[in-house]
Amino acid sequence: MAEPSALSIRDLAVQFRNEQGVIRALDGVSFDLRAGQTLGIVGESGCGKSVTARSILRLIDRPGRITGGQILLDPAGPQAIDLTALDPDSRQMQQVRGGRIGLIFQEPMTALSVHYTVGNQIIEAIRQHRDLSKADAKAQAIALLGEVGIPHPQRRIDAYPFELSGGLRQRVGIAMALAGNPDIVIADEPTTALDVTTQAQILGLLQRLQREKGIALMLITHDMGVIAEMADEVAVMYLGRIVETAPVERLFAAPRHPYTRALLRAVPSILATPRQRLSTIGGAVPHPGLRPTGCSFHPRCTEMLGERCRREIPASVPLGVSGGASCFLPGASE
Amino acid sequence: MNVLEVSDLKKHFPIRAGLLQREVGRVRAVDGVSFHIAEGETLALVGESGCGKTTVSRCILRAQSVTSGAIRFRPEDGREVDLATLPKRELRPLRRHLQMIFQDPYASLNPRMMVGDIIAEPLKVNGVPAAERQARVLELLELVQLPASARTRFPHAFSGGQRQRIGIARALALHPRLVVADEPVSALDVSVQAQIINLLLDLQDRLSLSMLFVAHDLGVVRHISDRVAVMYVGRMVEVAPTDALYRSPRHPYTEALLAAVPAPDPARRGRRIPVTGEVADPARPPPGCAFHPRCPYAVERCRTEQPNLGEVEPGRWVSCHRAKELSLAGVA
Repeated sequence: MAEPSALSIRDLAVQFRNEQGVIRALDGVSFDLRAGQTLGIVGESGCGKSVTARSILRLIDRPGRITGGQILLDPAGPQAIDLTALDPDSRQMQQVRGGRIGLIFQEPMTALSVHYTVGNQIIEAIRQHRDLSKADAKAQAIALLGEVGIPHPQRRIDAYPFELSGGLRQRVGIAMALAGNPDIVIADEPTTALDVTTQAQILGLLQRLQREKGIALMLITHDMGVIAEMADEVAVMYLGRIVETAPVERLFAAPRHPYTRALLRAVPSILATPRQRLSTIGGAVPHPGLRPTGCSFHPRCTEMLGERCRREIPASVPLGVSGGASCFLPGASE
Repeated sequence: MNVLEVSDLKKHFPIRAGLLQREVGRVRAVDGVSFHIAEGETLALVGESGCGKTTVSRCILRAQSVTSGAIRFRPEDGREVDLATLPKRELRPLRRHLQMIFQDPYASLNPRMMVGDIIAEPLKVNGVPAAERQARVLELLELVQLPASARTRFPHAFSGGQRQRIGIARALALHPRLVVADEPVSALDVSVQAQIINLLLDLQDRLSLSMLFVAHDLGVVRHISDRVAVMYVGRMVEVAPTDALYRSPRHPYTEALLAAVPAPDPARRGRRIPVTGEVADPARPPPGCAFHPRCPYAVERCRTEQPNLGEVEPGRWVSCHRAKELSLAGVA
């Protein structure tokens, strides 16, 4: 039984305009983030995974702008809000950002100021979204720091971010994201800057918090290992489009899009045999401003069907838990 | 025949404080590290940030002075030098035998030079005549699978993966005896990373390269290296043939590292228990074995007595008091 959607993205388009022309960073992206589930979004640089996160929070700066589509919060409820219709600086959007939707960054210092203590920043974040006295907010902040696994939270609350290790800083970053008690959390490469043993701890923490709080987690990563470990459903992106969605087991067992297949075979593995060569994908990801015609993966695709792939854009992936691929190959889209 | 033998290498950085900048402590970035690289062999140096792996590579290249220890290097058959103590003046003619591949293919190429000139630069510096240089540049471009037309273009015209190929061509121009590669694929996207890994595997076969491969990604390392050396807080904890290390690690830290890597297979989910705690501060390493506060197998002796690297079976060195009695989990 599928959980209801907490956030539905429909045909989202984002463009960046500069002297050289128009870059279509997102070109018709649709997916559902289900309540209490983890949706992994995976792709190589320039695929649009971070732009997706930033558009949801309305953090796209000029010259970028949302040119189409909808971002629906509580889509099935009586009070669905289309975030694309809100002014990014409006009070309502500020309540959504950090309140309904928390954000975890790759580098926690993006979210933290060097000038204030960890405690000051979390207390402020809590009070922005909840009507609490300073003392109550401080107690909340200490509880939150304990919850994200920071030892001696009563003492650490007075630390400055630079006094903490990378792993502890990311824990503070997670506490910040949770300060407004969100039911949706977007984590953009939350462990990419961390060492592997710290990464394992932070992934474990995210899993635990998600389960306990029933958070809908949108986890953006380039690492197929992190996807395999964390996601319930996966969306694979390439050049501003979703090329495949699938439940995680199916994605790894029977990927349907040639790009997903190629990507999985290209990942170096700790289970490799000595001197094992990897399957490669020819060429490189094109610049988003030089998007190929038709299916944008066709110049690198080894399973191309011919003219059709060069000329026509395949239909978007079907919505729904079973997913599918945006590809002309027989059976790909079911 | 070993190309390189590092023994008891130490690199300490003084911590200075106060008005007179007195030394108040030392960061033991590298604290007694030994290993060797045989001819035609790739040794991977792995560990988490701050473990000292990059400092070791910088000491070998003498981009960093050495506190103590020896770095014996054989630039040609029958000749041996100690890079740790060699005066700068005598170091210069050796540079051609010791080349480097960098992590960031965007920062390591001069944007104002054409690719042909970038690759020819080391040849020119070493007095190779112009006509010969031309031929060698073409040969090198072919070797790294770039078109000959790349010669007359500038680095910005190339993607990250292609730039890394240019960097590799430059490093190989003078047939170096040893290549030091510091995280050469970690800045690249997966699809491009795979191409460069395959290229390095080809080059190992074709040129019988001797390489020190500094990396943190244990997946990449399993594909590319013959042997692996694992560092933790400035010391070597385990050195072993690659397959043996992954299948049956002998040091608890190696076990923890392998267990921490998320495998790209959802069926293996939840099988691992992450090691607790954080990497120790090399300015204040814990007494005894530096890993003991995080080690699930630590006993009293580990808290007081520092273990030394010892050969537990032929070709396998481990620095752990309990190396012989523990049975640790690897990855198949």
